[in-house]
Amino acid sequence: MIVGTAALLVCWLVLGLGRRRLGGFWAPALFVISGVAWLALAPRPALPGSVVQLWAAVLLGAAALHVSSSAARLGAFRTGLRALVVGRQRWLWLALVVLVPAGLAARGVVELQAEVPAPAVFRAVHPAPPTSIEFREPGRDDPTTVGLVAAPNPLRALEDGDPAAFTAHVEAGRDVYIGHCFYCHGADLDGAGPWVDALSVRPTSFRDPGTIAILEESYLFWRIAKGAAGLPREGTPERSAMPAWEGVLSSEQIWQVILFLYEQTGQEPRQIEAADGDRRLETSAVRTIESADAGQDAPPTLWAEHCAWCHGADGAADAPYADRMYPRPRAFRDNPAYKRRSTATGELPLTDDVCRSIRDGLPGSAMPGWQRLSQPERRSLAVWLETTTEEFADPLYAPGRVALPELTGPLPPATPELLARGAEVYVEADCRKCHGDTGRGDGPSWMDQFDDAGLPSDPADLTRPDRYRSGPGAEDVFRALSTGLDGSPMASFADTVTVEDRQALARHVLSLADDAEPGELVVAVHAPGFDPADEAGWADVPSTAIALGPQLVRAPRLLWPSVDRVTAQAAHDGATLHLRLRWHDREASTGIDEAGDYPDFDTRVYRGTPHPDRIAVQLQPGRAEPARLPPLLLGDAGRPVDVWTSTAIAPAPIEAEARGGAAISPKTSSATSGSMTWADGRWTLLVSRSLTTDRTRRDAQLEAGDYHPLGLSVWDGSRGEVGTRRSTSSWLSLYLAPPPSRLAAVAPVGRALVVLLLMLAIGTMVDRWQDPEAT
Amino acid sequence: MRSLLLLCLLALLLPACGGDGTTDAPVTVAETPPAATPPVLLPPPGGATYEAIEVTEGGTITGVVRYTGERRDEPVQVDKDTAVCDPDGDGQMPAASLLVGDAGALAGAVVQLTGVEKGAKYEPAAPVIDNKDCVFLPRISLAATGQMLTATNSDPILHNTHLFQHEGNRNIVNIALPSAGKTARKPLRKRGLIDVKCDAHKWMAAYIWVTDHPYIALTGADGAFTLEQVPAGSYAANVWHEELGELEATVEVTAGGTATLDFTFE
Repeated sequence: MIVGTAALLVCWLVLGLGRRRLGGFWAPALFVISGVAWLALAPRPALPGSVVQLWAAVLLGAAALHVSSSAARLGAFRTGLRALVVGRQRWLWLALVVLVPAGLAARGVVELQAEVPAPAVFRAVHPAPPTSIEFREPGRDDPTTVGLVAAPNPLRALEDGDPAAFTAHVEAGRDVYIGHCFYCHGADLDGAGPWVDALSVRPTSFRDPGTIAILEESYLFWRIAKGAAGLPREGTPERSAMPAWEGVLSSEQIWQVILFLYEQTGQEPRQIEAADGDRRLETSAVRTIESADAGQDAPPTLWAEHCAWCHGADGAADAPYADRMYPRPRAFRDNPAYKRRSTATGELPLTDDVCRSIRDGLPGSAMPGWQRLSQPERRSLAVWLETTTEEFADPLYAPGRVALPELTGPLPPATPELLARGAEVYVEADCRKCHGDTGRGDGPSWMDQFDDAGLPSDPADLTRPDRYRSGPGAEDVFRALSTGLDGSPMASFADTVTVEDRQALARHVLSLADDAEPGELVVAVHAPGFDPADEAGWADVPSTAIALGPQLVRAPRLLWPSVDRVTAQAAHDGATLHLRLRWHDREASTGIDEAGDYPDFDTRVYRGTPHPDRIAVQLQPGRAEPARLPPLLLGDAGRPVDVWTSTAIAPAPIEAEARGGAAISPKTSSATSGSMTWADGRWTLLVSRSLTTDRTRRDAQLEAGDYHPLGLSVWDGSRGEVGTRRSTSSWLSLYLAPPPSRLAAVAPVGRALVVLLLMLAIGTMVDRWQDPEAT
Repeated sequence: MRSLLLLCLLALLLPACGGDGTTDAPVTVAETPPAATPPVLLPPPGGATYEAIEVTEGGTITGVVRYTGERRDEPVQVDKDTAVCDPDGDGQMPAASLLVGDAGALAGAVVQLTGVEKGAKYEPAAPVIDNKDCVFLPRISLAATGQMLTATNSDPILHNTHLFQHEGNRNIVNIALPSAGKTARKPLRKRGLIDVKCDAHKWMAAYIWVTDHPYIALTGADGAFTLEQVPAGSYAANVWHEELGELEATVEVTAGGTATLDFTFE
């Protein structure tokens, strides 16, 4: 952008200085062309087409004004134009007459094939708060009124008055944060929690100086208490999953977590000037983070600030929050076993190995990457960790603390021969025993796997490199195969499979990856005569990988869901929609208990519970109206959603209605047909439904060209998922591609023809002008 | 003028490259924190440091370990790789964790002196654990600190030999043995009891007792054991059995004499 702007200024400077040489036509023409080019190319993110067109018109107008301001200028313009069209620059004009219409036609054809864009949504990010809210304390039905205008955090006064009590409130706030906020807003408060992929609106980063530092604490209280559902009209349509925490958290807990947000990020709340009561910004400066302690004391300070919540104050992972994480945070104290290493199994990791884990995090776990910390800070943490286990100081362990020699250098490229060998090694090394024939982590021994904390440890679903604990690259896979993941059941193959075979195996494992594009838009292609039972027909239908996260709003909540991705495909023939949804689940659970009895915030990990696997597709009832979305989590009492649902014990999809809560009530009749089948660690739901039904207000009415709001809920019955304990997507869009129209196909050519004719007309007109120089 | 034109066109291209650079199965409920494995009550075998000396006129400790309680010999359920692990197809194999002979003689018990500070040098044969017919052979091994453990596979299927320091359930080493003939050697650097597991076959179990002194013995089918070349003195002794737990005793050893030490699990 800076380079582009500089280039424009230089160009205009040259135009200004050289206008006499350029002549009365080229100077204004190049002024307009360079300006439009800058508008179209330089700004990031790119300006919308309408804005570019508007400014292009302004530039054109300015140039026209300039040219027509005097007879001399007009004459010079005509002379220049004449020189271009019929004079000595004729070759350029001829080239333009051919190239411009051809380019326009080509661009039009490309645009025809372009992907359908997701619908644009506009809303106010920080809508004005109400003057007061009715707040419901937990366990009480009668609400209390909380004023939001000029209402300070009642605990803020303690900061100076009683520092010990203040610190205790901040600590209590941390507790609230980990229990309720961390899953989306992240361990570093940067809006990058473990389930962020499933959220169509990215959670607020409290580290961003444009968030809590420009807001009053009472504003935060309002947003936390009322969530996305409590936003005023201008703040909608809000696809945010932010729950309303009133009734769950007490007002004191909310004020505590607010204190914690500011203390942890080093930001200060916006203050109200008391003197005139005017709502004015006093200071919103981000307090500079003290870097004075980046010296010798750094590890314990950094550790306490960022790591101790989960890994324990002394690294023993006995912090209360460790229980909330799955997989359980690593206990480092007196534990020489590290998962991600470049050393042999049973050996200590290199300091660099630990630095890398801190930097990149461990995908598929609660451990985020800490790129925000500096490299020396990360290193100081890794070095400090080495003091927590005596083996690091034991000379017996020193010789083994070297990287396996084969781990240096890149892997050979994935040639067909290498991949073929890799597939053989997969069988020879019996990888299928845990990871399954298709790599979905569903091999015969999968259910027997436990980690060294005694928790179930599912073999990796090899189709999901984004969740490989050891990293997503081929080198990462090769390293994991070679070193094993100590502490998990994944063993080291360094002694028993050759380097070449391990390299081939690493390439093969990555070739199993699911290549569906993650997205929030499901496009139903127009396919007359489509047969959903024909597997080959689906091969040509694009797939969208939809991210799901835990249902964390309604009690009892689910903390760590089993299913985090559903791959969707859709086709329609103008009368019927066919939807194919597929998701990985290591076992088909056909239990019949559809009630369950689980406490809220249950931190246990289950296997083999007797609930049926289930999926629910929720749609907005009636015609698509994205501006008036029902509440995401299966609607609520006043705003129900239309649901198409199947279970492992009733696999034919039915049409139903949900009004929040756990109940999904079948409707009297269903226009849906299809099946839900399980094979090789994967469920497939095929559902076909007429685009429209007789219940025009209660059932979703689909129409080609509409973006119909769609959401997914999935239950893994064997993992204690039933009722509100489920994974859920954000609101997505289902777009039914209209049948291709002949007009659309010829439009680009038509446009090009019009431009061609226009240019020819200019040519003819200029040709008829009298040559001003000849007179 | 043409050069100026070219300059402008070039400048127009720049922004494009510039950018801004930016079931039927039982329900498993894993409670957290998980139930820790029962700690071994013993202090680490041997003293904090063990000094190997020339033992002259050492004494001998002999005895028998017995079990008088109820026999528990439910067979082990075998449900994986049955072609190899369960050739007779009955879905089970005989239990090996509690082997009781005539008159209650208990095999597979490990008797050792604890807190020994000096004594004979310990040079046992290096331990080898084979994976054969889907069991670890031998089930219980004794080893000296610093020795190399050899893990091998005689089965045509994947086994892994996964060692855990019993105390704290700390992962030691995890070796994949994907097919018959595969072998790996790993050092045993720490004293204490090691649990050996195979994650692919949950019924498989083995144990290694690692000490730096030789005053440790494994009982055979007759339940008998002998500790030799024990310097005269008073010792704390201990017997461990994988299912029955531990018993403790004290024993007096005289120069050149033989002390008797029997243990009875009830």
